[in-house]
Amino acid sequence: MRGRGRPMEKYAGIVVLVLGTLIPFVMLLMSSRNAIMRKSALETLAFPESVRAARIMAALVGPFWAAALGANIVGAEYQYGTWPWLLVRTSRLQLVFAKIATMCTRLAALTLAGIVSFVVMAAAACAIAGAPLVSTLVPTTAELLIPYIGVAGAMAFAAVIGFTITIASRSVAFGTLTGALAEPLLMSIRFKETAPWNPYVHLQNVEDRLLTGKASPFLTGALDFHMSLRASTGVIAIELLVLLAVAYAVFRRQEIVY
Amino acid sequence: MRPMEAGAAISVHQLTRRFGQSLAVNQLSFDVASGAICGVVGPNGAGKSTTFRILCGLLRPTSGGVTLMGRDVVNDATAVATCVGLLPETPHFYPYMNGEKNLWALAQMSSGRVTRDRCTQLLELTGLSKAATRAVSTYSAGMKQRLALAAALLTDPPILLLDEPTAGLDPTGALELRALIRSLAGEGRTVLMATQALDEAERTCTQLIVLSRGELRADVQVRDLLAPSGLRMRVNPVADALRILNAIDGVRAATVGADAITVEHGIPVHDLVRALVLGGVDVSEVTTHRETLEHHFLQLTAERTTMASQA
Repeated sequence: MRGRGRPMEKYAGIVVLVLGTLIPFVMLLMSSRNAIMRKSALETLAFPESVRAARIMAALVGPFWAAALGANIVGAEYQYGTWPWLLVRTSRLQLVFAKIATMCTRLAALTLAGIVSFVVMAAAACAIAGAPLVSTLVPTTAELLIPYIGVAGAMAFAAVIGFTITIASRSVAFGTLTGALAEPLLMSIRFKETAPWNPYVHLQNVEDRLLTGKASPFLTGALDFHMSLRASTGVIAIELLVLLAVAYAVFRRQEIVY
Repeated sequence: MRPMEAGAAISVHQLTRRFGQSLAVNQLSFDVASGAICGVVGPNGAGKSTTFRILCGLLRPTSGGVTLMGRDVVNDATAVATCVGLLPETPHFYPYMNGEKNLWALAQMSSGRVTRDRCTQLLELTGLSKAATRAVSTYSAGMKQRLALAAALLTDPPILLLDEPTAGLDPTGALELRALIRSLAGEGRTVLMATQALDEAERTCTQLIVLSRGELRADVQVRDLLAPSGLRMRVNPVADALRILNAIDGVRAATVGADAITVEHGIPVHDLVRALVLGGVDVSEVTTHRETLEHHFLQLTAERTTMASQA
């Protein structure tokens, strides 16, 4: 059993692929008048630096379309009036599971497609510019991949908030907006008082501890934050599960008629 | 709580549903036997759709309960998915998909395995094979209704809940759909069908539930309701005929026209005719007389209105 694709996914996929495809060439064009910038751009586009650059892109736009996907995966059923069809066919718990599984699969597939298209096009841009395809700076696999945990976490929160708010409000627009605004809001309220529950503090802690084995000076110094890797992972998991449990609890009580 | 009638596929007991201060369904109880086609009729706002929505688990009752094939709809999360095929009043589909894909999408969400072959079979059964690859947004109301019926039959459910299945269909489409419903019931399914069309209920249903203002007004077998209730006679002179017949025990006669009378009787027809002929009355025509469903319906709902206004 699985959820159904919507045009939203199609358009989100197109946007991701277009961005991933165009940006390497835009970087080349933008830096074409300045030799230093051009050298820097070509170094960024060479593999495996391009993987790091793709992560920065994903961190910028990922949470926004993750919120849109999370909201739309349930919101489209309200918009099309198709919930009753599904509700008489299977239990609400199974429906929520199917929707979450579909949402995760789509997010992972689209993110991967975007990253791969960026890396491939970056290599093509380097080849066209006559620059080396492989970077002289060779980061470790851990240095390349661990920062993606932060991106994945931010996207997961945006998607789950979008998902939950859409169920509660039955509005895709409101769900998308809330999910997309969650990241800047939570990033801006990282204080000592909010740090123990702020998911972005925990994501940063997880990333830092996996990379360096200790918390960053910003977390320990400015936020007086000293949680272990396991504790931060636990808090993130609990927060996501609580949000999904709220979504299910609201959905279970909801009267949706044809 | 009333015990479920033996062999009842659908059992509704003391069902009540409120929306704020408004009482949509009030203490409604009825049973539908396995294999029956039961029509639910009533004026607008009678509580038909609310009852259907509760039956298919989309609304929770304020009190009372519903069992389908002996399973409690409110507390058993899979009862509806296992037992019910629903045809909603206004079926909605994914407009960007074609008919076949819509059906397959719903098949994949169904509890219980539904194969591609089953979808193809149902598209054929509902006459949509040729239109299966067309986008649903281009379908007529009748085609959507037939696709909805195909969707309702995906898991081969023992109970079909059809909320106004022929609403918006042209006469041919309605006729075809009614024939299809009868053949589905002939396969042993129980059909509960809400309708505003009394002729449809009369032609299709074996049992009739009449609702008015959320209350049960009648729960009858259609054959009993429509059984001949008397005779219509063309006589001359009418006054003599009335005098002779009303003098017989168990016979009531009344005028319905210049030369016609209706007779409710408990004795053989030939005895009535003999009495009239011996009394010098000329009897030119004798036909059995029965009231239409419309007549019964108006009587039942009018009684309710009168009672309500008296209260």
